[in-house]
Amino acid sequence: MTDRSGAAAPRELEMMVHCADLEAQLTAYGQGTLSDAQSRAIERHVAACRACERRVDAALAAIAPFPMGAKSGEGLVAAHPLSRSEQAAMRRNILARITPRRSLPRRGPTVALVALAASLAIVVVRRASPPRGASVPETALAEGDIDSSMLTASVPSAPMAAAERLARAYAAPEFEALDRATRELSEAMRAAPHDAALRTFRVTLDERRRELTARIARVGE
Amino acid sequence: MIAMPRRRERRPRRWLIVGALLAVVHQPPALGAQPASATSMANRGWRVHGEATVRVYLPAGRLTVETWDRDSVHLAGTLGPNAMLFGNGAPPHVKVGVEARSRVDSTLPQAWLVVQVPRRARLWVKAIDAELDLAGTQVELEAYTVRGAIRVRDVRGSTTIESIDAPVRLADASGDVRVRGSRATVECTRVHALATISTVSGAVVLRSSQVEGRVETVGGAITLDAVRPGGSLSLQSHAGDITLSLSTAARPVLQLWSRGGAVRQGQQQGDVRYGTIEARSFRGNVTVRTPY
Repeated sequence: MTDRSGAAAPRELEMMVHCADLEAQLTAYGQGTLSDAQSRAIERHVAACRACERRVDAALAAIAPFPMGAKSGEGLVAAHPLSRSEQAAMRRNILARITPRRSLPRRGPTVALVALAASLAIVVVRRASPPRGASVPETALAEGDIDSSMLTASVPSAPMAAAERLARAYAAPEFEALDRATRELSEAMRAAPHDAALRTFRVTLDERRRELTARIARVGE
Repeated sequence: MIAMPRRRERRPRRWLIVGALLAVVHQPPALGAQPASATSMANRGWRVHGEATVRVYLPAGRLTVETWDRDSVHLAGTLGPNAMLFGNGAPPHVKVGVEARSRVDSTLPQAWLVVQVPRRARLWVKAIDAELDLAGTQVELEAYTVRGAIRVRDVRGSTTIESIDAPVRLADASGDVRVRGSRATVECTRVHALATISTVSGAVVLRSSQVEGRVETVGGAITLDAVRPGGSLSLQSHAGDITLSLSTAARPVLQLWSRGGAVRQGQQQGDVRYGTIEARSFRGNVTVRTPY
């Protein structure tokens, strides 16, 4: 966005991102909590800066909700192939979810009580274990109507998701420590921009951040 | 009065049905999931080449890997209730691991395993929340865990250890060593190697070790008592203290720097024959002391 004279508009100048600022905003950017303007500013910067592009890619990989390297549904399936029985179970789950609910017929309190207990039992059993051999409920949609992306959109298995949560939880304070150190160094570098020793420290911090991000990514590999 | 007996007959049957359904609700394991106490034993072996690649994956529990002078891999142990073995092997490559029986149970599958591999095998171990006890590899070892502990001893060749929260203890190692820790301490004892060691907030302790290379940490302290003779070692900590306990009889050349902390060193000049240590801290203290 430039005006006719070619100068950047004031609003645009406010939203410019430098390499040093990017670090602090990486996590928020990956989680989508930045404003649109802030996100666009980062994307503009990344489009022009190779190093930051790599940094953003690594950060996004670390906080992705599915295994690293699985950026598309295809990759996800490759990383966590589902067996035929698991696919069938998921298909049944999806069909069950989209089945229209029927109102309970009025047949007296006994039948209602039995029906309530039966539905409670079904809910609890479904939560405890994947449905195996359960009959497919009648529905207006045939199985072929289900987009295969509904099957591939599943996140990793619960243990894998738990492992990723564990890794991120234990790494979180370390990222905070890195953020603090980066802020300290940035302040020092503003006072002494040509200090080679400070630049060395900065390179080291960036390296630690990359390593930690890569280690979290390895949980999902 | 005539209807009364009919009512008495029906009531027990109705509650029988409700009772049976409630019993099902309270006992989901009977419909597929394993009871909590159901562990199983594992005992498997594969014939492999002496320099085979062996990959072991364990989400939680304990893994002990030993090396032996046989061309085979053996795995034995106990699998937890939600755990089962997967994988297989061929002479050049064995991949074996533990995975969950249920994809919806978020508990990490647990196992307690002892694995023997050929001494010259290339070993790759990955865990999430487990204690790893690894010993004896002579060619290549790569170990990774998020939490738990990693103990590695008596290794040669290339050794790579990565952890997020697990303390790392490395003893009697030589060759090329890379350790990447985060929060927990990295402790190296009798390590004679070209080493790259890094942590974020964990301390690094080098004891009776002659190391050449780099040690870098953000918030952790660095302590060491020797450098490889003639070698060069770079130490860097952003906020941690660096303490060097160096003998006066064989003191290496020292280059010490701290921007925000104090630098304390004696008057004694070092000799390049005993190596060179460059120690830098952004705001920690750098101290050289003589061991008692």
